[in-house]
Amino acid sequence: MSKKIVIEPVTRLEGHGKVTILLDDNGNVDKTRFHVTQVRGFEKFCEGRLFWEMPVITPRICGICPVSHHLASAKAGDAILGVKLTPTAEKLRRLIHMAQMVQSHALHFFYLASPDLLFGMDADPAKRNIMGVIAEAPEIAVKGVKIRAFGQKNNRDDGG
Amino acid sequence: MSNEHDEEVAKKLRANCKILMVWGDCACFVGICAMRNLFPKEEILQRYYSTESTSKDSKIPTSEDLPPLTEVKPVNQVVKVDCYVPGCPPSAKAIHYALAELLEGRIPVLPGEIMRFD
Repeated sequence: MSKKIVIEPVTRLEGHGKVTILLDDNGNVDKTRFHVTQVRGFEKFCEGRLFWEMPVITPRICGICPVSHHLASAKAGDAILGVKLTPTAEKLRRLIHMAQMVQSHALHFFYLASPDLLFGMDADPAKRNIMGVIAEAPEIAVKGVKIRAFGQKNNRDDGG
Repeated sequence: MSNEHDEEVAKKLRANCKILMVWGDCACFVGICAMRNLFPKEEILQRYYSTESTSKDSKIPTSEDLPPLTEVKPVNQVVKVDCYVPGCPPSAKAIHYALAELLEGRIPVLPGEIMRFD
C-alpha cells in the first residue's frame, strides 16, 4: 500500500514550506516533493506602482533580509535615474548589508540550527527548538540574541 | 490568512490557547498582503509560472497537497483574537509593552504613543 509522509511546517527555513514523501508498495521512497505553499504576489502587485515605493514595499518580503531587498530596489531606482552614488553612500549601504548578514547568520545558527546541533537530530521535536535551547543552555541563546542585537542596532543606526 | 491551510492553523491555535495575540501588521489587519486581493488569483499565479525567470513549461502547479488560495484576510476574520500587536515589524517598545502586560496578567491594549507608521 503506497503511503504518503507529510512534513509540515518546515521549521529550519524562514518562510512556509511543506515536504511530501510518497512511498511505493514496498515502503521505498518513490517521489519526494517540496511545496512552497505561500504566494503573496509581490511580483504582480508591484507592477504599475511608482518606482520609489519599491524600497518601502520590497523589504516586507522577508523579515530577516529586508536590507537586501531594500538595497536591491534602491539600486534599481538609481539605475532608472542614472544616478551614481557618493563614496559615503556606498560605504553606508555596504555597512548595513554586512550588519544584516551578521544578524541573519546568527539567527540561523543560534535559533534554527543550534537545537539540532545541541540535542542531536533524534531528540524529541517538542524540545528540539529554540525554547529547548533557552531551557537547557541559556547562555547560548543569549549569545545569539546579543549577536543579532549588534547587527540590528547597526541597521537601525545607519539605515534609519 | 492567505490559504485554507492558514485558516485551519488559526482555528487549531484558537482551540488550544486561552489568549490569542496577533503579531505584526499582516496578522492584525493584513498589511501588505492585502495587495494580493487587488488581482484575481489566476493573474497572480500566471505571473509566477509563466515569466522569463520561472518554470520552463509554464504550467501552474496543481496538486492536492497545495492548499487552495483564499481571499487574504486578517486573523480576526477567521477566529476571535484577544490582543493585537501591530507594526511592520512591531517595535521593540511595543513587544516589550505587550509581553510585560501579559506577564502581569492583563490583556495588553497598546497605547498610541508606542505605535508608528512603519
